[in-house]
Amino acid sequence: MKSKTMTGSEAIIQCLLKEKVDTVFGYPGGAIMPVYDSIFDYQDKIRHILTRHEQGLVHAAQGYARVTGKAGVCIATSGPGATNLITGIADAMMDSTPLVCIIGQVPSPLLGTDAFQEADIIGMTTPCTKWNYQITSVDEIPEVLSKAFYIANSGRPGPVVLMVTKNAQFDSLDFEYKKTTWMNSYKPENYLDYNKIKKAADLINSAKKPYLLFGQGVVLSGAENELQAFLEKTGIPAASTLLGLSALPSDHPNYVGMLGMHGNYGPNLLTNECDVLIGVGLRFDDRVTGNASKYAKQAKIIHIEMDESELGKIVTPKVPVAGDAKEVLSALMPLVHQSDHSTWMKEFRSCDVLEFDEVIKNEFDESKEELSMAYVCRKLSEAADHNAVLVTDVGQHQMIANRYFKFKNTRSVITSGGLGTMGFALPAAMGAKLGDDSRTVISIAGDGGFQMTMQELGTIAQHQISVKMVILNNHFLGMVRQWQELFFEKRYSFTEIESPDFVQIAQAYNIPAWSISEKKDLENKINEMLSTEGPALLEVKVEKEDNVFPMVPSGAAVNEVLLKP
Amino acid sequence: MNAKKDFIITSYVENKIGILYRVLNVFSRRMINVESLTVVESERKGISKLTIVIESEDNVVKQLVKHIEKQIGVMGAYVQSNNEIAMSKVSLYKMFTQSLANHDDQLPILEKQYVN
Ligand SMILES: Cc1ncc(C[n+]2csc(CCOP(=O)(O)OP(=O)(O)O)c2C)c(N)n1
Repeated sequence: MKSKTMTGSEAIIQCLLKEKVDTVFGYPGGAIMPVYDSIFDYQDKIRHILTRHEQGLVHAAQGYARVTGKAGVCIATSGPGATNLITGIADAMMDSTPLVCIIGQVPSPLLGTDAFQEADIIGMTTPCTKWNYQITSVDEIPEVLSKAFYIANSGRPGPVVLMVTKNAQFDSLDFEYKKTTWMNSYKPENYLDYNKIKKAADLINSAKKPYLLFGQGVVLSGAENELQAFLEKTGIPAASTLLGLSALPSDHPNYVGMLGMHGNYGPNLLTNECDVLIGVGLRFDDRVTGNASKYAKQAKIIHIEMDESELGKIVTPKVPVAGDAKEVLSALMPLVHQSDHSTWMKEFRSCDVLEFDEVIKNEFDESKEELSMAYVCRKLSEAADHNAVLVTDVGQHQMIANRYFKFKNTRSVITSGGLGTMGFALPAAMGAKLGDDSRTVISIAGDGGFQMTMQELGTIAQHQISVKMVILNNHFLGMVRQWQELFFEKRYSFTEIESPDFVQIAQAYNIPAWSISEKKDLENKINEMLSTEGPALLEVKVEKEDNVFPMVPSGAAVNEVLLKP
Repeated sequence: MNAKKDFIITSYVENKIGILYRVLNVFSRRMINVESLTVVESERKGISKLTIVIESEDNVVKQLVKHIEKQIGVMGAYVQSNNEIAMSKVSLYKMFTQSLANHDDQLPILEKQYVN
């Protein structure tokens, strides 16, 4: 199909339609005005969400991408519009989230002249994008956009930044769109090495204490069923990284809990006891490994990961398998033996008992007057029938919420893992709800992080995005305070934080809101919030100096995990 | 075993703006200094050949090469340690053919050098 004359800006919209984009997150400005003029005519086909800050729009696009599995699309202007996106782009890079950011740029003759709102965004985003490109001529638009979507979505997903100079948006072209399915210098698919698969299967079959760790790679490759089948056949205990949560239902018999600095006790401790460690779709982040030189040294490691550059980066696998989790697990399935590891599984269960006695029991002590974050999170999860999408910010509440929520469905956990970006939750929740309206989306943030992006209440109100917002207010930058308490002699240097009346703030946006501090009100208000139509906000004033345990102190080995200070 | 030594990394990349930065960033973000760098057009049109010399260790350099290969626009990357390579110095001169014609006697010398 050829149409004679189409402007570059309209071509951009046409490309989005060809890629079946139905929602974009954007903020206009000088250098992107032609695109805005074009999108005005396509409002029936593309929903444009105007946020209140570019950081809000990029996190929203991340939330959208994480819940749908499709690239989130961002539109912003040059200079400050683009620099405001960078936190989210870096976050998406760390957490393998597909994004396509279309950003205006000054006219090409002005490039490099310090023109008004010119910034070298290609230079700034090269280290934190999977790919970036500056379009200076209108004819490049279809091919470059097509490549952008292919690159963002394929292989290990990631963010792509496209700068489009204003002249390229204004000029005209003959529009023709070809979907990219192949590139010369980018090969996202791995060729499975069946020798390695065979070796991995042999190791698994001969193991006495095999232990499987899974990460977001399982979600990204859609390998949830394969993982479940593999675990059921082999009887191997399995733990999840923070980003892998919900890939396996929380009540699955093989599931033993969460890994990491604030993960569960057994999963950390027994990493240094297993004889074969199988990592599926994860990158052995330092929050998972603790001190890497003391990590699973006794074990033979099988690392299944599609990004080859992750193999051997942190741990040295005996069998590195470059491949997509779904493909590799399917290939392994016929080779692994049906087996039973119930004695070994019991070791995890006895760790659970210890963790319950030392940590969990206190959190749920009904006689305690103050509300613990854990108590609130468990009640929230129950009230939503363990079916909600949980979107968390960064800090103590993040670790607690992900520890105490339960999950039935995949793609139920959205959080900033690798970058640990405070302010992520509220906008990401907004994007998640827009991505899947059928699901209950609960965002949980601390009093600190909520205030980093709370301007997005405006977006939520304007578009009536039905997110349920919970603020766990401990009057502190809690996670930093915890470290100050434990490692800096309780010198609370600038971690006490005063907050506005969140109920009044929400009400100023016409968003129903409640604030509670007593246990007796909790269930009622949670239910009221969840059953309210449209957005709603609940502030819960929780214990001020609650700490998150278990904890693998930084620099310690995973088996040095602490149950108390 | 983990002593630092020189490595030569050769990489074939698309001859496009920005790729050099992407490749060099693999080193700079890890605080690895590039000792020398040459960029020339390769035998294939549109593909450049980068030759990069760095000081590093075996296991690090293996990972670096994978990170370079992963960059979009990179066709491939290879590494040799300094002692795997026989180095020789080569000079190229451009001469007017006219001056060669005037000095017939130099031709055999040039040919001989070239063959060696
Ligand atoms: C943008 C950003 N700035 C700073 C930090 C460092 N940081 C990590 S957790 C934390 C405290 C968060 O406090 P709050 O949002 O109140 O949550 P809490 O830990 O109390 O649950 C801080 C400051 C960060 N992760 N992100």
